[in-house]
Amino acid sequence: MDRRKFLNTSAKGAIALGAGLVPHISLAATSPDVALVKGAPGAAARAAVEMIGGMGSVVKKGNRVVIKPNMSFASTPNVGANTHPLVVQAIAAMCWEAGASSVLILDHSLAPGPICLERSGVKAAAATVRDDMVYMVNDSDHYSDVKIKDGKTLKETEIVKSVLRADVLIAAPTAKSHSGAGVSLSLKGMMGLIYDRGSLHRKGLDSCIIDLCTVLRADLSVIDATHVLSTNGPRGPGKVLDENKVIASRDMVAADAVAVAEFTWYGKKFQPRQVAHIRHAHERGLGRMDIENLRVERLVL
Amino acid sequence: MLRRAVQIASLVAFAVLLGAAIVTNSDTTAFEWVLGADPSLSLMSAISGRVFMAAFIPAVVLMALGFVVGRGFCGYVCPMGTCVDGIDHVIAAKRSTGNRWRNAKYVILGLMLGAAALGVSLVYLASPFSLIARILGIVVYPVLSALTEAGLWAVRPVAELADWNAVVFAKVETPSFDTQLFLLVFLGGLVAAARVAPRFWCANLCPAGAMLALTSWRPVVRRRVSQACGGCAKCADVCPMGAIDPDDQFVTRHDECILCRTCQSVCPKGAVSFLPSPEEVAPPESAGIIVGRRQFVLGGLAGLGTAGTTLVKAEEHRLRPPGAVPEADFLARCVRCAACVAVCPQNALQPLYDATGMSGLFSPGLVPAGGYCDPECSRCGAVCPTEAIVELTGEERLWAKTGTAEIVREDCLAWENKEKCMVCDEVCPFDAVVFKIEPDHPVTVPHVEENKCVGCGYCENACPVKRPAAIRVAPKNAVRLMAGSYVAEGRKRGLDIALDATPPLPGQNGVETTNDKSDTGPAPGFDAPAPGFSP
Repeated sequence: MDRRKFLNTSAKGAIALGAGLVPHISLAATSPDVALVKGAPGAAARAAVEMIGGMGSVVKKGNRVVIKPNMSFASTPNVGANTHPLVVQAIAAMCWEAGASSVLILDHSLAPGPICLERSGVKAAAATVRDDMVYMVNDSDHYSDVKIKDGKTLKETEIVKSVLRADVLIAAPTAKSHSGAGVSLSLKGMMGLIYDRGSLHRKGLDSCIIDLCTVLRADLSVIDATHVLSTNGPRGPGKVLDENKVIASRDMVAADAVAVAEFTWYGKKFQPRQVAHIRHAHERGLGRMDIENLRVERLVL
Repeated sequence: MLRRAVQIASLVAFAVLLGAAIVTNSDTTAFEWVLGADPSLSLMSAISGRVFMAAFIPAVVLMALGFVVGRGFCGYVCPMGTCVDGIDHVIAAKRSTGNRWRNAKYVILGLMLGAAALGVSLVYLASPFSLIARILGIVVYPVLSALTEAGLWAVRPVAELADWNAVVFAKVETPSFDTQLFLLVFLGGLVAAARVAPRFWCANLCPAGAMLALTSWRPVVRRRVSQACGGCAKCADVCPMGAIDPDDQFVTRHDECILCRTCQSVCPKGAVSFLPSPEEVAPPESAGIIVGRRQFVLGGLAGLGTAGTTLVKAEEHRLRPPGAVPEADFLARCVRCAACVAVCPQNALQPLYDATGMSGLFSPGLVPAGGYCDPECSRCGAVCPTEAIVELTGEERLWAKTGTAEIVREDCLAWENKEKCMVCDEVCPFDAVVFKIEPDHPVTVPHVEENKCVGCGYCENACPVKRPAAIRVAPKNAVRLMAGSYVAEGRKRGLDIALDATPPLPGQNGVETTNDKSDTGPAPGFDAPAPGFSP
């Protein structure tokens, strides 16, 4: 059954890839900076990635890939605290289709890892692609110390070894509010790949997030906005907006900026610059939050 | 040799039952019944806890079996006896100098009984199964676990190269336990005693042995000597229990004999048998048993005294496991086997030195700094042999409030350092931590909604401020019941306990799930709009 599903998924993926391939060759230079697709989680993720140039433009043959979703809360997808499992599944499938030699889906949970993996649905969904991808990395053994050359506040931290070995890092956060950082998206999500998050809170969260992202700069951001946790994040429960959208960009700051502007947070609209860590990221050249000057392409499936 | 095989099988079975309780979620009834087979453990718990449990039945059976096989249990089954034999095998005293302190075990038994009469359990001091369970759970298990971890660590580089992800990320967590020192000292004592006399513990100290001795004064299966005896006294020399009179080898103290049959194997004349034989010679009349009555009474008085000193009601200043019965009953029932401590999947329970004075020594406490208490887990209650901790399920388990979290504002990053930290809120499974905007405070700050808090300690465990955390769980308002419903009691006390991430029912997932409170308030974490800037 698993194998059949896998083949099935692969075949569908191949068709999608094939379909996407032709326009890419001619339009590669004119791919939008950010894609925003409304549709079912898996299909929207695929379409969004295709629009910005396809997974093939990110993952080369033989590459080792790490995908960082949110799966560190023991809650189901509709709570909005974790990435929708079908988005993660689609990203992982696309990576294999693009010729990755290894794909790992990793997060570092506060809640007990096995319960998170089960309740988030990510493990089960990913297992339909391959059953040895999803791991909760809560053990210090799996981390090694990294100096942050460009760090202003955070000068060094311990990062998951598999991420350091990887050729490609994909941020796959869910779109959610965060009582400390405003929102938790691609940039904030990178805190799930380090060991000691506590000290970031002590040192100053916004600045540390950006320091961290100078070493954990995702090659691709795919933001799952299927169930946007608009209030009371990061854990919820809060107001969930069923937006059924997926945002993709090679620029993690731009992806986050579009997500901030696209949805309402605590019942209000905000500009990306109103989120301190996104503003810092822009100012420090990590990416662009000035989405008015970027090409954001929309698609409704 | 048959006896060795039985002994090892018995020790292994004991360890496997405990091990299975630790590494699997399997039923633990067998383990509980095995623990209950220790007559001293069961008797003391029954008296101090004023309760009789099914798990005590094996002890009754064992005592009754004394009329048939005497202390054969000590020689063949008891895992502590096996350990003592093992130690003796390695560093035995050169010869049995007799076990002259044999009446000391009646002092210990009397001490435990005297204390138990006043409702204080001293089972932890000397009951062999309590001790052996603790040695296995608190000392041996972490060592085995660490070895496994080391093995994984050794193969990990290879696994990484080969992309064996399952091996790379395989996880063995070695728990850390308090009070190991006591057990190591105890083990050291066993080793030292082996230099004095073989089976020193069993002959002189063991309260379970003392109890079995009471029904073993003339068992059916017992040492019998025939006319063939030449009086060489080899048997008396080798008897590990010193049960044979060196001056008259026809005399056996059956209450001390563990049926090991060493005497039979060394007898050059083949004069020893253990079943009725036509040639056997009746021992002289004088050979009755002399239970240490005086020592027993002395011990009893000491026990009463010891218990008396602990009667001053100590304040509950430590957290107990979820489902622990009220403190006095808890301490009277708990046999300190530490099975709960060993099985706790989060390593959240510890045997405490300083729980409630002497009467609380080694009793298990919840220490959130070491691990949080999973609100849906009741493994400690499941494994507890004496229902000092009751196994709870579903809502009853959730409502078994162990304490209440309190924020120490002068240590809190948000309150004191004005940092954007909300880890306690992030981890709280009950949404009992609420971040609010306070006047003149640049960041939102945590508050505990006490009626929602069950004291699970997720917050304390995760708090980035360490030793001590800035949010700590105190036993305040813990709900502890002997009978009745935790939910009903909780409601009566005004509690409002619910896991906040409970998945909504199918079909509830509408366009907007408004189980939220602050849609119109300020948005935490966002900057206010810049002047002149309209969103």
